[in-house]
Amino acid sequence: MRSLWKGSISFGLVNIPVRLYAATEDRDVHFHLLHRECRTPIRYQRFCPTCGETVPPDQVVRAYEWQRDVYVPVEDDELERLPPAAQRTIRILDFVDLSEIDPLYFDRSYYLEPMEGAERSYTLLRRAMREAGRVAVAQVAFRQKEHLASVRLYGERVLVLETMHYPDEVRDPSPLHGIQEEAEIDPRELELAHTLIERLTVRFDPGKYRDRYREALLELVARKAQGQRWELPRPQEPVGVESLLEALRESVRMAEAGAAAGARK
Amino acid sequence: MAGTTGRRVLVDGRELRFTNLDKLLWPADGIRKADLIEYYLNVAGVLLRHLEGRPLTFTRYPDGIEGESFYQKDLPQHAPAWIRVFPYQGEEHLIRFVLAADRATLAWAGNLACLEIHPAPWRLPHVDRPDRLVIDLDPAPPATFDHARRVAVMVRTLLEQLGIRGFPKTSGATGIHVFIPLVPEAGPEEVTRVAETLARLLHAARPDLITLERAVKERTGKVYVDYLQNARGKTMVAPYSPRPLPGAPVSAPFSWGELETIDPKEFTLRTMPDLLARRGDLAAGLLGPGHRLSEIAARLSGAPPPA
Repeated sequence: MRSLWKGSISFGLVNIPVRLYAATEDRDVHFHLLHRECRTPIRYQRFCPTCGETVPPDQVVRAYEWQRDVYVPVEDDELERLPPAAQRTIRILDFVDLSEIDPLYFDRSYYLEPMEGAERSYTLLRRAMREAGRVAVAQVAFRQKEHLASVRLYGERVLVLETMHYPDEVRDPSPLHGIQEEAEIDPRELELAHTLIERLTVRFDPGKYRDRYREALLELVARKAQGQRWELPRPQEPVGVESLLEALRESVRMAEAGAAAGARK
Repeated sequence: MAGTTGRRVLVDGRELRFTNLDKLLWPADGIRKADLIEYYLNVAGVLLRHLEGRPLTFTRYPDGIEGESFYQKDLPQHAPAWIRVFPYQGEEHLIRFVLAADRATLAWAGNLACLEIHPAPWRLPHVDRPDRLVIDLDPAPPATFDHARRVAVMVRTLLEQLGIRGFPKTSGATGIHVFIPLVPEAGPEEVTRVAETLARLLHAARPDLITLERAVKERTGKVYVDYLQNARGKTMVAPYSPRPLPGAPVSAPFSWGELETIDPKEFTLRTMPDLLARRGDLAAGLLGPGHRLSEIAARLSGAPPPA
């Protein structure tokens, strides 16, 4: 695993240096896009419709759309001069009951690993949180944003940072149709539904669910790979510069030796 | 009407008026304008293939190679109506470039004392999409053709190592031009960049023999590899074009196998027609399938240009 970030948990007077690792990974099947004719992976270019040309990176500037068709340019150095949003710190602000946080608020999960020498304070926080049965609400700045986050125990040993949505990022469901009404329900129907739920109730075992679409897709690819494979029209391997230079020198050396021999005759 | 030398002639059904046919163009060699026109007509079968669809620039020497000269890009006034032109929007004004479609056009150019023909490195309809990359080897005195020959040996090795076809020709003076055929898709700037990478490799191998210096006086005694000849608007002298030099040399395609022994002075306005008939067009491959510039660049990607 490769750590994404280094920082520290700040908890009262204690500072716990940690590394951050992604806790989940994307297993979606990704396709590449190729030019059907020559079977070359296509490349994206940044195109300017006004100038009708590809824009090189040094010609690109960030801008905020202030209103429709009105932009405010923001330069890199202006962004750098902004007050640093809590430098590399996971600031624990409050402790709450996990059941109080609706899962809707959770965004992405990261494992926290204690850096060398921080194992003791890591253990202390972990133990205290386990015994209190609480999760920490924290704020942390990375990837151009000050995140709302929670820190909690996953399993018995590892602390997990969960980035969370701010309340204004959670959309209001009230415009949805058909959610406000409380229709008359026949008690026998309700009874039946309760029974059904009870019958289907098990311990949560995520291992038993599978993405059957993904499996079928990979199977299709594996089957096709037996017959239909497009090898990239790859030219010869790039030539190493040192061997190339040596070959050039050698060839001209021979030509010069030949010319010298011819001159002596 | 310029005296008794003015003559109305028909060339392949086109009417032309030849003037001053006795004018000595290469005075020391006794070569007259009539000889130039005759030369063009003799090599037209091959020469036209190398000019077809390419806007032409001529160097004119109305008073012979010892007199004044000028470039002719735009169609001259009083040109016959049947001369085909290609209008091209230059940086300042529209230029009506001549297209050589037939023998009559070559004869007409000969009559205007067009001693040199420079075709565009691209061919219609692929405007400004070169179908060749040129490696121009130009020895700076006291360096001679032999020095260019040595660098050409390196170019031959380089192309072999990269698996690229290239076609050499004498410049007609002391240099050598190597043309690499391209698929016409990249612009001149991209072609120039790849040519620069090739030039830097050559230079890195033998900095004592090769120079990339733009300042002429810094090049003394070395072979200048002029990758900027690939830049937009630049043209190289055509294969089989005469040069305004004593002896009336022509730019002569040769095969890589002849590199060690070739003598550029043997290829002249007088000898070329027979040599061409005997040897065939050794630059014909240049008009064949081209390499993709991206493919050449990819092969070079393991060999970044040594700074």
